Amino acid sequence: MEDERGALEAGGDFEFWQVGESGEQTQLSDLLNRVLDRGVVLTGHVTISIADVDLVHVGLSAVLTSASRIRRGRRVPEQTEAPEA
Amino acid sequence: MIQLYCVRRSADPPPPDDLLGIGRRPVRVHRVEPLAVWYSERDRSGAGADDPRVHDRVVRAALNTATPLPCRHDSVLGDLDEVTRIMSARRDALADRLARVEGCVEVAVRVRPPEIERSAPAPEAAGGGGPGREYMVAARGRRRRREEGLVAAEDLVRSGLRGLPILDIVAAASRGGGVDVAVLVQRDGIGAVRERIAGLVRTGGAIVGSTGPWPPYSFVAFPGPP
Repeated sequence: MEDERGALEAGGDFEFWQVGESGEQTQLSDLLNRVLDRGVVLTGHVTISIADVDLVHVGLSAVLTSASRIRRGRRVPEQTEAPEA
Repeated sequence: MIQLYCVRRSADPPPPDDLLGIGRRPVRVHRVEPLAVWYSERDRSGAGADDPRVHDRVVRAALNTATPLPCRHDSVLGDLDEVTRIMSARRDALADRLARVEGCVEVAVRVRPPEIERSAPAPEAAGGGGPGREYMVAARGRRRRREEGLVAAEDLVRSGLRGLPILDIVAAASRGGGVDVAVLVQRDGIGAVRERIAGLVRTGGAIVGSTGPWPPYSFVAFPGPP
């Protein structure tokens, strides 16, 4: 069940590992969840939606929170301030 | 155009000379004291399917020497003057976020979709509403169940890792199905975390897998623009 992997291409001495569900697809899913949805945004866009309906796309040139943080804002006390365009 | 990868302290080691970013462009450092950003030049041609991997590979190279603030994959600015201007405007907030994740890495824990998400009944629409109202009520119900599912998954992982030096936990719906719970851990604590998760996975419960360590993508959000 356990599959521990060696270093990624540029991993150097900081080894990447995988436990349980293994395979390229799983690793790719975790990668995309992070790289595409999270992290600091210095420019980009945000979608304003209500009840899962996307309403407005706003272009930005500022530092914002990740989309997942915006959606979770109500549950995280320090993230209660919604970003502005 | 400038493709951004991560923010670091200016005193941290620069990228290796042979490190290539998106489009096989060399990765460089641009300093906006006391911070620095790793970047590469980028033309306006379309994105490549491998770009997310390349982005992560560059951020991971930074992680080898010091924990960075990872930028999201599509962080592109016009030129270095714009980078300087935006980073200067948020210098204190960036430095604060960098300090919060210093010496830390992220571990991804995958949790099966909680029962609550699949089985809880949707709230019924109040009488008198048309199809539009029914749709909005149903959407709100789905959203509520999803949020409850995230909280349940977060609690499950928090409980499973009790006693370990966990700094923060956040859950989000995963592109691969189920819930992706991100755990912020001190670098020297990841061995114990991995062992504990491996044990939890072997029990055959709702925690089905884990990958790591990742740069702290899930723990660098900002409260909002200035």
